Amino acid sequence: MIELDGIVKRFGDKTVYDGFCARFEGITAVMGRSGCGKTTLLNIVASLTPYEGTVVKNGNISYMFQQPRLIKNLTVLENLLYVGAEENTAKAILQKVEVDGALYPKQLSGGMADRASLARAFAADGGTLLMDEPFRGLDIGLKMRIFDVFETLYRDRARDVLFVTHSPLEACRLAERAVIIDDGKIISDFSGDSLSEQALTDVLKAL
Amino acid sequence: MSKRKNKKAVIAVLINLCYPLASVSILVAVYAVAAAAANENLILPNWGEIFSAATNLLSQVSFYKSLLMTLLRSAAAFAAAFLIGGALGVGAKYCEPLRRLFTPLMTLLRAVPTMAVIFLLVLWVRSAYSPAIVSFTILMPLSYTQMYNALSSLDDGIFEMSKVYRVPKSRILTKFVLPQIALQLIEATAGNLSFSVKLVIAGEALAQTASSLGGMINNANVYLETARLMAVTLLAVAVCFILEGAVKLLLLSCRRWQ
Repeated sequence: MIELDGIVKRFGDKTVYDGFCARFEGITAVMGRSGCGKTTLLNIVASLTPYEGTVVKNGNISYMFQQPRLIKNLTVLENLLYVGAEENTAKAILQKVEVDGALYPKQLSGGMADRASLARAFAADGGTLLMDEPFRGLDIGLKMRIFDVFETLYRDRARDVLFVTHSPLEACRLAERAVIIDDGKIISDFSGDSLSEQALTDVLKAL
Repeated sequence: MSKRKNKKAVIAVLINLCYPLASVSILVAVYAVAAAAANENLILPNWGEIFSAATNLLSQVSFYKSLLMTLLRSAAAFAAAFLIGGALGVGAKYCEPLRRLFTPLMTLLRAVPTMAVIFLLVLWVRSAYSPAIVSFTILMPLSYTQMYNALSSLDDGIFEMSKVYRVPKSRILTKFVLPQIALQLIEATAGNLSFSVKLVIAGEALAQTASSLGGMINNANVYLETARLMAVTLLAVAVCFILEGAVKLLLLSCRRWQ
């Protein structure tokens, strides 16, 4: 569970959040216009940016950034061990994402690097996973494969997931709930039967 | 398959060797033609005389003593510049007031003409030490900039990722920071080390330092022994090549991940 209470976040004169409150459980997609504060929300949860208010989260944080952020001089397996993953767990997860742990980041394709980053997020000891547009720039075939990998990993190592996306398809495929943020507030909240690509597209179009 | 790969690698190495060999051969040939055309040993001695002078030098104990002293001065200047310049570079990177304090100082040191530094230090300091101090004065701002740039080139995203995953600082330092800056610093070091030899020789020649390659060059110049002067120069160039080669070998072993 991730609980945000009375969050205030300003960048100079611009107020992004002013008393923002929300509670997220399971897999939640965060959507909205560019610049509405989606990444800022993840950074607040990850304590990567200063803010006022309270954030309660379940255990440690894992974060899949927009870029894979793998360390170039370490192999993929060493990258997983770097964040404190247990070696056997790391190897098992790498097998699931089908990435050779002995390769260096420079030897990986874009899709492989994303899968390695996903593996790192799940291999680390974390109760909350944050993902910032993790599948941006991937072709649809690769996306579908990574969705499958994500679902397999999530089944095995369930945790609260908050992920930012612009794609209604990704939100409907992966999330149990999708929220749309505008002007520092949740303006739409979809879950269960109400969560559909069409419903999300309609709200996003109207922004 | 691996045999074919080995063959390709050998061919690649041979091709890579061809270019430096070709450029050296061109230089040697152009000099030989110029020496033959000048036909004046005092100005352009031929290769035979230079080779004979070099053989003569290599048979003298005094040459090895001079070489050793020049290398020691160069190494001392390089090490001091690396340590002090590097430490100041670290300070400037992580402390803004220090950066603002050092920037004009380093700009000033870089702007001062090398010859002016040499002449002043030759006046102020004993001739045995002045060449090393000259080299240190020139190399220190370089080392400072190299360290500052190496630290600045580290990916901030990795630091952010490390913070999120609560990676201990010691692991960030040993697994990320040091391996990545080491590569850049070794690369820069190869150039600095041979530059240090050049600066020390220039300082020694002007300070007329006893037991030094620069001193030998100065003496050869005074007594119009051009072949000997060129032989010392060529041997100094060979030493610089060996130093740079050794550092580059070290670099190759660090570069597996690239």
